[in-house]
Amino acid sequence: MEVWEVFSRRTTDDPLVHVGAVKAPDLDMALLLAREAFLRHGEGVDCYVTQRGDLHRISMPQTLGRGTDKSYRRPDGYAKIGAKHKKMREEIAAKGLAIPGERPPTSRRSDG
Amino acid sequence: MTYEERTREFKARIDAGDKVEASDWMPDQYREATLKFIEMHANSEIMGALPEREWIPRAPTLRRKLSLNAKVQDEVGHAQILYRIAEDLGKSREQMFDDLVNGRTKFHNVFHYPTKSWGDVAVIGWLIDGAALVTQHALLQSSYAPYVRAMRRICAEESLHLRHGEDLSLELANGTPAQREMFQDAVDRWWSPIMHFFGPPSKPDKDVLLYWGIKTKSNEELRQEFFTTYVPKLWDIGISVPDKQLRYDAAAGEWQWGDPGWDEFWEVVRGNGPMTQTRLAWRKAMWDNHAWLRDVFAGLPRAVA
Repeated sequence: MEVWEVFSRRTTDDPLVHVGAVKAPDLDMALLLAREAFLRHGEGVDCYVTQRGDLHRISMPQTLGRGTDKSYRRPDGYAKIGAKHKKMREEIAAKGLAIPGERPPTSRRSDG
Repeated sequence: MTYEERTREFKARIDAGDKVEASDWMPDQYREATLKFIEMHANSEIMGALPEREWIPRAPTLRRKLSLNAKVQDEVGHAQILYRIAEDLGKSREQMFDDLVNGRTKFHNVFHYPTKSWGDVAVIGWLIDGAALVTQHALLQSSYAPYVRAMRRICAEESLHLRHGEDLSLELANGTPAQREMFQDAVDRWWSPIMHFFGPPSKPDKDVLLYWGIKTKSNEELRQEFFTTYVPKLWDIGISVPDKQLRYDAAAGEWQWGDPGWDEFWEVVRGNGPMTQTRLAWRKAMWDNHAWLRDVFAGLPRAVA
């Protein structure tokens, strides 16, 4: 009996996620058991199985991306950008240097 | 079932909001349009890395050098993800490369221009990535599922780039008069390429990409969204936009804008942009320099037990 690792995605837009494993003698039985074990409440839109021996793992050393400051690779590296823009907007307004012109409601902006 | 019947059934699926997987049956027109669109997107990601790459050695600080380097790496990574998806639609990567460097396929107009100053890096990072993000967000609703999943990841990285670009822009706009002028000059030069980026006003009912749900918003909807997000931000920091007719019409709830002229756009699309040949030569040089790696992969001897 082989161990089969089971993967599924919640909706078609989602990535494939590992949901568990089943033991089964062949592929058809593995798919059947996987479906019954992990997807009978409609948890996902599809189901994949692969034999455990066909999965190969690499563990990520702690130093990868952490040894030196690499915050510029992550959004938190620019966490205060909204406040920076606001501060500058106020300074420019106080100096009367803002470009005049009607603005649409801010709620319609899409970069929030 | 005849081909026409299958096609009708497929179209009904799309209209009902169903998503298409690479292994599903699809009409030839759907496959061709999806492949062409994703291939052009992949081409643009890899060609878009080149103008910014030119500034890595000239970045003003170590931190700026590292962050620009990381961003360029992200863009090349997006190209890798997208070329892989395009390959699954039936065209080899070698063919896609060959078509690109020989001018048979396209990449976005904005990457055919020179980058003249550090201000250009700021404008590309904020406004051009912003324009791209507006269009890419709309692709999260695409009918082609593998593309949607790729776009989820790509959009997440692009919003990081946007912050990086805004940070650069604010630094210049908030800097010395010379820095402010450099940024304003870059906005002035890039504005019409950005308008061209969204394409000419098109007829949505004639757009094959909209018909098949590969794209979900028209050129004009996307351009309006861009104005709403970015123009007030520029105006608020005292940076003007070189379009005298640009104004928000509150009654109509939309922006009026001046036609930038489309002759230059069509010239660029035909491959006659100011930097088209230089950038393609770079792309070819990179590909040729890495031939040894592809050779190793192709001929890798099996390990002897």
